[in-house]
Amino acid sequence: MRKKHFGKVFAAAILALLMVVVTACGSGNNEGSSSSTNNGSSPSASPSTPEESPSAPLEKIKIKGIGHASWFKSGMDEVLIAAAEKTGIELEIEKIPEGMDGVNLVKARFATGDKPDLLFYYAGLGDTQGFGKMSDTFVSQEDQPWITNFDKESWKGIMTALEDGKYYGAPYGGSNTSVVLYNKKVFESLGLQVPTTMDEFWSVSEALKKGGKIPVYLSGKDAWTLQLPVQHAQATPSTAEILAKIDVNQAKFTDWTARNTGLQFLKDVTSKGLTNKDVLSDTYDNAQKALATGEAGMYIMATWVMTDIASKFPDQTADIGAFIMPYQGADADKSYIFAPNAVFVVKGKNEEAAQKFVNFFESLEAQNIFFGKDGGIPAIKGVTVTSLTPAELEAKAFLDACRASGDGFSMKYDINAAFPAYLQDIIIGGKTPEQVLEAQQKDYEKAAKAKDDSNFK
Amino acid sequence: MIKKMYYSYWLLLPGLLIFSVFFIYPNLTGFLYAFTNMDESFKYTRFVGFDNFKSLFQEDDQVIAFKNTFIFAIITTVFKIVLGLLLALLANAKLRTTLFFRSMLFFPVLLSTLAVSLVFSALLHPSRGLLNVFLETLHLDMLAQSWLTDPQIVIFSVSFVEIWKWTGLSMILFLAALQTIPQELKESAMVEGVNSWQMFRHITIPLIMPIVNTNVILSVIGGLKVFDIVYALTGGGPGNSSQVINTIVFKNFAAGRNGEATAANVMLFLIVLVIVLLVNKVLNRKVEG
Repeated sequence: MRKKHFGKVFAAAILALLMVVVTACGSGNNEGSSSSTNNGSSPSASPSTPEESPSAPLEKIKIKGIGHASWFKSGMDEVLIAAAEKTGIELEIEKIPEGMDGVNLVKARFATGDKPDLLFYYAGLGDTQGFGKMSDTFVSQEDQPWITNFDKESWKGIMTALEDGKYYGAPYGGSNTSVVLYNKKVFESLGLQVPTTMDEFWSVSEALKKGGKIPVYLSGKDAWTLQLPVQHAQATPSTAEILAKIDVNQAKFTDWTARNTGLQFLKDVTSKGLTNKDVLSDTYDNAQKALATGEAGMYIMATWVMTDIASKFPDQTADIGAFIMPYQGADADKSYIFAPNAVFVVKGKNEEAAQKFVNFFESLEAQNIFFGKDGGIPAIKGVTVTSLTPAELEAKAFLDACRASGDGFSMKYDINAAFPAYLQDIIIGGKTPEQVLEAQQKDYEKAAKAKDDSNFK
Repeated sequence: MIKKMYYSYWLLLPGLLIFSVFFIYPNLTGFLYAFTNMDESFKYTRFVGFDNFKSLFQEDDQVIAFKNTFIFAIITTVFKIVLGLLLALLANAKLRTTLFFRSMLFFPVLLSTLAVSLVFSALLHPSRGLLNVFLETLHLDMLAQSWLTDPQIVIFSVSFVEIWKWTGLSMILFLAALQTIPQELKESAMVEGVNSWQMFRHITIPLIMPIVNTNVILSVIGGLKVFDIVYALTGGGPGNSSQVINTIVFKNFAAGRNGEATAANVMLFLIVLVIVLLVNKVLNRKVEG
């Protein structure tokens, strides 16, 4: 009798425990929204707090950030030291792999609730890109003091969230642009001129090959780097038009001719044998060395690589120049402009300290420290110290001459996680450019249907 | 009459609670989510029937993952068992170097997968890697391959690294089994005039059969569930040539397609369950026979 009674009590206890577990896990999902009342406009978020009372001892606060390893160079190292001294905030940065490996990792972290205090990520995030609703996840930067020193209008649509048009990310680093970086000494020694049409480009490449140089270096082991030739081809106003149509299911990826041009280039340059021998084993690091030492003639990349080259090969930095890939020729081509990356304050128990760090980072003092060491064109107004290399200055001249386009080209759904693998597929002959575009269309439809998008029913 | 004293069932409660939170609950919800289009926001989650499962078999890149998982599991299981047994026989021999030999063969098991992957990425580099340089030095250029970047052979290269890393574990298990065989049995067999092969075939193998069973099961499960070595060595590439089921799970999860990722995980669970039950049944029959 007693045994029977015990069995019932025991079963009831287990059931109750399971219910507690289920309820506890369920309520965890609401954590983000409940903390959303404490938004970025909290008074303690002001950067001036520590400076206002210099005699008061600074409270030491440790916060955590996460971002691609290559984004943190000597400029940021010095800013971290200054921030600890001036604000008492010690930021510990977790450096994650480049490209989609890092993106996958950070999205998986957010999906499982393992969030940092600061997210260093690409600007212009939206609600449908894997981080949840922007206003639930991140602190809005609209009312923060640093934003008065920032040209909000210029970066609207590029660095703002698609859904509410607000700035959730503060600029991290400078803006960059895609170019063909070339070794001027190699070009001079072989008597070559910068190509202005695709015919000239192929001729120059053949001449480089004949001269014992690698014409076009592709660092396919770091698959994200393969995106650059394609993005460069997309730097045309037609891209914005086609993307707007793809978003509402009135056009397909296969209609995106500019992307097709870039994909076709990757296929052609590989099949013509105008690249390094081991494209899929060679890395971003290998490419920098090959370009700087003159082993390679050209490398299609964004200007951010020049910071690395300048630190590793200071004596060769001036040998490198930049030109725009002549996909269309006749000066019709543009370089693809990349907005500054962004730093997002994640809502949570450390959001005040994280915001304080961001406000310090965006101050002129910190920006001058940062750009005194690292490259890129500052987005914060009034930065007086920069360290642009000759190649970056040449690239900047294209921007000044309005020969740049891009990065306003955001799409409603982020399907780029699979893109680098597709580009590797083109290199190994596993997919044609058309098949890649078809695969991307499928990915996009799947993403849209998952969000119950009425245009994709 | 002696009264038997039992511990109270209530003592099970803390353990059961932890087991429920970290195992039973996630697993049960996993089955449920596999039939939804759940994304990272949980906002649009609705029941989609078998769509996620269909999708797994409609896309070439995902079909490749299933094929690669089976190839990987079969190759690594066969080689780990055969090589593990041979090495165990060698390590069981009475030699002056036996201890050194055992330690050396077990050493790869202790290394981190990431470290092993980095070393092998360098060793298998097509032009600068030690393996191809060595082959070229011996004028065996025709054998030099793009080990990790040729889509035709990449899954075999990854399997080779897995075999190199884990054969030591099979060896140790076999070695433990070999050392339980009574010496008297072997001696009496020798008195009867049994040769080495007959001794191996009719005495050693039957007596270590339970360990063969364990080793095969462990290798099959490990092979089907592989993730780390593939992700660290190739990331599933080049392209999607070395994707396995677990890299697809990770990829879908990272793309916010949690429903599809969970469906792939459920498929993996069912595959492992069915194969392990079958293998276990076949091997147990042999043990009993």
